[in-house]
Amino acid sequence: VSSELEKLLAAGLVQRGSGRREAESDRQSRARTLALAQGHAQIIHNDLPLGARPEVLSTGIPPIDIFLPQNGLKLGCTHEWFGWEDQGPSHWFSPLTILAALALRAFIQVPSAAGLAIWIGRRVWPSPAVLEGVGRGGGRGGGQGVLGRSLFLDPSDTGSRLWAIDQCLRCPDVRVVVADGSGLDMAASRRLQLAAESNPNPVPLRPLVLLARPPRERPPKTISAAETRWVVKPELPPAPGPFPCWRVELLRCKGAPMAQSRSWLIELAPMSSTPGDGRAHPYLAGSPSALRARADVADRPPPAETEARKRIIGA
Amino acid sequence: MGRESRQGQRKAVAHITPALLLVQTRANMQHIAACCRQSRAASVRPGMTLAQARAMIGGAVHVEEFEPGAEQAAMQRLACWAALRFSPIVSVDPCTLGEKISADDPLPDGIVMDITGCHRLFDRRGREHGEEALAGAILRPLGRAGFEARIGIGPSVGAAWAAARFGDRPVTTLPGNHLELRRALEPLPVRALRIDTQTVQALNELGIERIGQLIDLPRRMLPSRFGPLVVRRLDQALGTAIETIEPVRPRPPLRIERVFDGPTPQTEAIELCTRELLVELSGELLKRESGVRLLEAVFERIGRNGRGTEQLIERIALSRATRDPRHLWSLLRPRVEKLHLGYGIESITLAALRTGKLRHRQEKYLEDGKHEGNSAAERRKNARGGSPRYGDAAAPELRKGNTGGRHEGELIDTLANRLGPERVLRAEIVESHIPERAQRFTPALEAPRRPESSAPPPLSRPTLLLDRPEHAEAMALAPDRPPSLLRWRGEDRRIIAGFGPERLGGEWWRCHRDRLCELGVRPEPEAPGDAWERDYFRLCDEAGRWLWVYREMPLYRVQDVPDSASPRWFVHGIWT
Repeated sequence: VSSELEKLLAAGLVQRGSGRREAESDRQSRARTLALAQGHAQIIHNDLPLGARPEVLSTGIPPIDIFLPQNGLKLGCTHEWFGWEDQGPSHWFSPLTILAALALRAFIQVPSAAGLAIWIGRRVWPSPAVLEGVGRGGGRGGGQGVLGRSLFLDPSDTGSRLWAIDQCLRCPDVRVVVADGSGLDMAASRRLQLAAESNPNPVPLRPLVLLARPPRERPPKTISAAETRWVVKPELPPAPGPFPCWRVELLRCKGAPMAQSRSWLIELAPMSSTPGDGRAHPYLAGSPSALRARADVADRPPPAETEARKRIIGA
Repeated sequence: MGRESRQGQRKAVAHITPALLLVQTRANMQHIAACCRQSRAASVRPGMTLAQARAMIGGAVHVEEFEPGAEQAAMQRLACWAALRFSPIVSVDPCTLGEKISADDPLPDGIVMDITGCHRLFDRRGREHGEEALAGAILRPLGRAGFEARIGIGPSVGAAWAAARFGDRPVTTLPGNHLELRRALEPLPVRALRIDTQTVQALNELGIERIGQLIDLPRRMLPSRFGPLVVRRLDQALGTAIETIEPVRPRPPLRIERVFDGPTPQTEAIELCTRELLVELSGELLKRESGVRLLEAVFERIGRNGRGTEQLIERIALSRATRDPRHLWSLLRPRVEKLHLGYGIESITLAALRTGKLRHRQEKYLEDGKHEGNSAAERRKNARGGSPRYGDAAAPELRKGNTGGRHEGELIDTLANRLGPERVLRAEIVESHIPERAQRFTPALEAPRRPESSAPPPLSRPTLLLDRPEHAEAMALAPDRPPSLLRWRGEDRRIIAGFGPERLGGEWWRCHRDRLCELGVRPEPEAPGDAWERDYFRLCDEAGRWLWVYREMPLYRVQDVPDSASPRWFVHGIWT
C-alpha cells in the first residue's frame, strides 16, 4: 500500500498540504501518509467535492456526483454514452460536449504535464476550436489546453478501431480515451475492460474510457461490460435559456441501487469568469468547461436541498 | 599526378528580386556583413552601414541578421555532402578571397577536394568526359539548391584556388604540365596567390600586379621584403611545394548487414536474425549517443525466376528518436511476418536513415535495465523476450518528466505504423476567422507536441463542425434577423430561439476559386479573394437542438449566373 501511495504522491495526485510542506515535521507527514494509506484521506484539490475518492472522476456536476456510488465515474473502466438520432438511424450524434467536459475534468483531477487525450473515430472528434478553449481559462490542467495533448485517430474499420482503443488503454501516458463504440459486442467490451486493467498505472492514473454509442444499440439490443451506461438527448427546457440543454439519463450503474433510471437536465452554462474582460459575453459562453445541472435561475436564493433535487429530477 | 578542384561559392539570388544583405549590429550601427552579387554590382561592400547600402542599391532590399558561425556550419555540411558523393578527401577552404568582417571569423567561401582518380566514376558516355563530367555533376545539384558555384581544377590546391576565383568560365581547368601551368598563372593578379591584403597592397605599390612579374623577381629577395608567405604560396600554386588537405569526416548512415550462407526461406530464422540486428544497431546507436527516427530494413530475396535478387524494403518512421530494440521490433515484427519470402532471403540490411540525438540516461540503481540494458547480453535477452506490449514494460515511471514522453512516443509509433501515419493526427489552431480554416490536422509522427499557442481562446463554437457546410433553406421574417423556419436534411425545423448575427468577412487575400467552381464558372487567375461575407446565427429548434447556421452573402455578381448574388443559408455545426 505504501509504495502505491508513494507513486501517487510523486505524481502530484495527492498533495501534501499546500504551501506549508517544508514546515511540516517528519512525524506529521508520516501520520498523514498513514491516514492516506488507510483510505481516510481526502484529495486536497480545490475542485474535488468532499469525500471524493481518487479512483473515480468527479463529473463536475454535483447532483450527478452525489448520486453515483463513489461520487464519480470509475477510472480504468468503460462508460457508455448513447447519443441521439437525427433523421433516421444512420445519422446519430455523440454527446461531444459532455465527453469533452469529462476529458477536461480528468486533466484537472491529476494536474501533471504528462497525459494524452485520445479521440478515436471521426464521429467523436470535437471541433479543435472547442478543445482549445477547454482548460485554458482557469490555467489549470497543467497550464496546457486539452487540444495540445489530444491525438485524433481515424481507424478505417471496426477491427482496427477496437485494436486502437486497446493499445491506448495499455499505454501509461494516456489519461482519457474517447472512442466511437458503435458495433462493439460483449466480447469487445470485455476485452477493453481487461486492457484497461492491464494498464501498469495505479488506478487513479488509469485512463477514463468513454465510448459513444448509437442509440439503436441501446440495451436490450446489445449488452456490454460497461460500468455505467448513459443516454443523452437534447431537450428544450420549460423555460428556454440562451444555452443548449441535454437530458442525461443514467440507465445502469454498477453498485448503485437502481430501481428505475434517473435523469438530469444539463445545461452548457457560460464560464463563470471570463478571462480578459470580466463581462459575460454570450459568445464566450460555449466552452464545455462549464456544464451544470439546470435547477433554476441562479439569482434566486437556493431552495432547500430536497426541493432542489425534486426539481432537478422532475424537470 | 594529383589534381585538385576548388569551387568558390556564393549564395545565388538571381531569382529573388530584392537584394540580399546580412547585417551585424555593432555599437548601435548596422554594418553589412555579407552581400549578394546584385548588391555587389551596386558597389556595396561588407563593412558599410546599412543605410549607406540601401541608398546605393535604391531598390528592394531584404535584410537578415548575420549569424556568426552559421556560414561555417553550412559549408561544413556542404563539404560532408561532397565527401559522400564525389571524393573522399574534402575540406572547407581555410583561405578566403576578399573582405573579412573581422580577422577571427572569415566567411568561408570555398571547398577544396582532391579528385585524383575520382572523375572516372562520372564519365557520361558520349557527352562529358573526365573532369568536366565531374564538374557538371557537382554544379547541377548545387544549382538546384540555389547556390551559384564556380569550379577550378588544377594540379595544385593553389592553382585550383586561383582558377576558381579568377578563371573566366564557371569551370576552369588548368593544365598539368609545369610550364603550361606557369604560363596559365602568369597573367593572373597577385591576389590569386592567397596572400593577405597588406602584402598585395605592398606589391601593387611597387608595380607588381601579375603573378608573372612576381615570378620574374629574384627569389632570394622576396622573403625579406614581403615575408615568407609569398614564396610559399607561389611554390604551392606552381606545385613545387606540398600542401595537404585535412578532410572532413562525414558519418554515413548507420548500416548493419547480415548475409546468409544461402537463401533462407524460414520465417523464424529471418525474425531471429532481424532481432539480433536490431540489438546490434541499438548498441551502435548507443555509442553514437543517438536514436533512430527512420529505420529501413532491406531484405534481399531470390528473384522470381530463381535468378538474381530483388529487394523488399520496409521503412518505419518514428515520432521521436529511440534505440530501444523491443520497441523497434514491435514495430518491425508485423512487417516481417507479412513478408513474402519466396525462394528465400539472401541478406538482411538495417539502416538508420535518419537519426536524432538521444542522450545517455542514468539508469536507476538495482533497477533491471529493461529499456537500455547495461550489457549486450542483457539487451539481446530483452529483444528476444516476449510481446511488444506496454503492460510488461517495467514499473511505471510516474514522476513528471521521468518518462520523457517515451510511452507517448511509442504509442504514436505503434498506432501510426498500423493505421497509417495520416490516420494519427494532432490538431492545432490556425489564425483565421473562417471556421473551417481555423484548425489544421497534422500527422502526429511528424509534428511533436507543440507549446501552446498564445492566441486568445476562440469564441463560442459548436462542438461538432460539419466537414463541409450543408446547404439549407431558411425563412427569415426580416433581413439580419435569425430565421424562423429552417429546412435542413429534408426536415422542416421551427426555430424558437436565435442569437446573432456574428459577421465574418471573407479573406480577400485568398483566391475564391472554390466558389466560382461551384457556380460552374472557370476561375480567372487574377480573381480576388473570398467574395462573400457570412452572418452566423445560433439557432435552437423546437426539439432543443442547437445549430450553427450562416447566411452567405456574395459580394458581387458573377456574370451569366443569375442567382450568384442572392444570399444562401448553410448549416455549419451542431452543439452535440
